[in-house]
Amino acid sequence: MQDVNKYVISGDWRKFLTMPNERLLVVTRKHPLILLGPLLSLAFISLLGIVASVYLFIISFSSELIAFTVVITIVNVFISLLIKIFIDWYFNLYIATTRKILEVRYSPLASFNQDQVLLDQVKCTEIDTLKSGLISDFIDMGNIAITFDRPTHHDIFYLENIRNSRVIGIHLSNEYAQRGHYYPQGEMWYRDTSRRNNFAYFDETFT
Amino acid sequence: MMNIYTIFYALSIFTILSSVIFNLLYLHGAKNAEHSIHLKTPISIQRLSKLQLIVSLSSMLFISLLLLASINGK
Repeated sequence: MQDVNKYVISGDWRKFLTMPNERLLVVTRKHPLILLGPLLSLAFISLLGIVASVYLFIISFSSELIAFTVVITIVNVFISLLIKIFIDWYFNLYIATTRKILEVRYSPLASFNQDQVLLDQVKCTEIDTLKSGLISDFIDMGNIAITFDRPTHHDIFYLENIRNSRVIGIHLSNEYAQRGHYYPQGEMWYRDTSRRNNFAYFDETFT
Repeated sequence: MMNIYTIFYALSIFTILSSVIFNLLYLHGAKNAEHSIHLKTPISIQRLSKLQLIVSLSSMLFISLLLLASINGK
C-alpha cells in the first residue's frame, strides 16, 4: 500500500515498491529555482543573438526581412531548448523507501539512468544535510548526503539541490534510525543471560 | 546563382524544421517515460509544445513565401 506523506510528490510510485513491507519515505526532485541558471543563460544568449542579428541585418545590410527571419528562428530554437531543460528537470527524481534509495534521471532521446542502493546490504547509514549560501538558506534548498558504511566503503548517495532539504534530512534520519524495526539485524553486543556478568559479542560472518 | 536572401531563408526553414522535429521526438520520449516512470508530462509543457508548433508552422509558411519570392527574383 502506498504511503502518502508530505515529502512524496504526486504520482503513481507503486512500480518502485518492489520488496515486501516496503513503503515510500521521500519522492522529490531538484528545487525549481535550480532552473533559473540555465534559463537565464539561454535567455541571455537568445537575446544576444536577436540584438546581433538586428544590428547586422537592419543597420548594416538594411534588410528587415532577413533580420525578422533570423529572429523568429532564434525564438523557435529558444522554445525548443526551454522545453528540453524543463523536461530534463521534471524527469530527475530522488526516491527513498524503507528498503532502498534510488535516483531516476531520464533525458528523452539521450539517456535513462537509475542509480539504486539497497539498504538491506548496508549496516551503517549516516545522513548529512548540506546547505550553503544566503539564497539556499532562504528558500530551504540544499543537498542531503547519505553515506553508507562510512568506515569501510565510503559510498555516498547525494540528493542534490532538493527543496525542504532540512526537514527531509531530519525525516530520513528518523526513519533510517528505525531500520532495525523494518527488518531484523544482529546486535553487536548482547548480555548472555545463561552466564553471570558476561557480555557476548555477536557479528555476522559472510562467506 | 542563389543570392544571400535565398540562402538565409533556406537555412531558417531548415533550422525551424529541425527544432520542430526535435521537439516532437523529445515529447514522444517523454510520453514513453509515462509508462516506465508513471509520471505524466506536465500540462504546461504540452501547451508550450503546442505553442512552439504553431509558431514554427506559421514561421515556416511565412519564410517559404519569402523564399519563393527570392527564388523568383522579386
